[in-house]
Amino acid sequence: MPVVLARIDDRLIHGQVTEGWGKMLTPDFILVVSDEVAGSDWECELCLASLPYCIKGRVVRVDNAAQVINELDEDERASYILFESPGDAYRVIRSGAKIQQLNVGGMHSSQGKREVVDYIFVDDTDAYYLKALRDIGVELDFRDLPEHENIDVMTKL
Amino acid sequence: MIKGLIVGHRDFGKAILNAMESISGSIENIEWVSNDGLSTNELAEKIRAACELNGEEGILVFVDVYGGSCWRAAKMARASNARIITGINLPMLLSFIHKRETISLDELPAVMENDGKRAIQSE
Repeated sequence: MPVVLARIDDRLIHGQVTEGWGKMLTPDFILVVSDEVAGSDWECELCLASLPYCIKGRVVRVDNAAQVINELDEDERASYILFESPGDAYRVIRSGAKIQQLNVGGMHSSQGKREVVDYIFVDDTDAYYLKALRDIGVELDFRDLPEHENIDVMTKL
Repeated sequence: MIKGLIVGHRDFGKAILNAMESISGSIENIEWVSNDGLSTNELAEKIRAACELNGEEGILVFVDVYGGSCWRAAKMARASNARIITGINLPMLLSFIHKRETISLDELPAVMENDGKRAIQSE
């Protein structure tokens, strides 16, 4: 099975991902790409504890992600890939991960970030990497939930 | 007095507190925070700040969904004066208001779990 959803969402595994997108895409596996979470056993456990029983999960570091993602193509499971930030997604795709489409569904407020829409807040680094992703040909889809419209965020960065 | 902090999606905390106050009148030492627009780290920070304010006698953090991002943020706040209970409902909250001055912080979560579950009955 192919990757059914690649998404930037700093909340990683949460209701919008498992329920909102999950009822349509019914994933069997979620790959979380995060150096911060992968760096702590406790945070890994906490992150994966959010999974429903029927979905398996794994957390990998940004450096290891491309290889793991490309092996998912051979896998029988329907998989999600979750990134914490545009910068992480860019690094993984540049190191060879085959991802053509990327949903941007959650970049929440934190210090120094400006609001673009109510679930997308960016700083200059985020804006730079979103443009960089677009420029290397990744198709970006901005929406939190599948029933919402794709919002043209790029012109507002 | 042990303080209550309700953590939930969107207006959940505000609404359940509002409903509770319509039953029991105004309640002191209880607050709510929303995950709206916040990253998990940012929400954890907000929970930690709320725990530090007037939290001398301890805080019971009520979370709407076990396993959700609000729950993860409550865990990540790592507030030493706080205990966490998930699956908040109105009877649980009512029980908290009655029992928080007579039961210790360490015993409260188990009592809340029991009282919250006891209120769920099928007929």
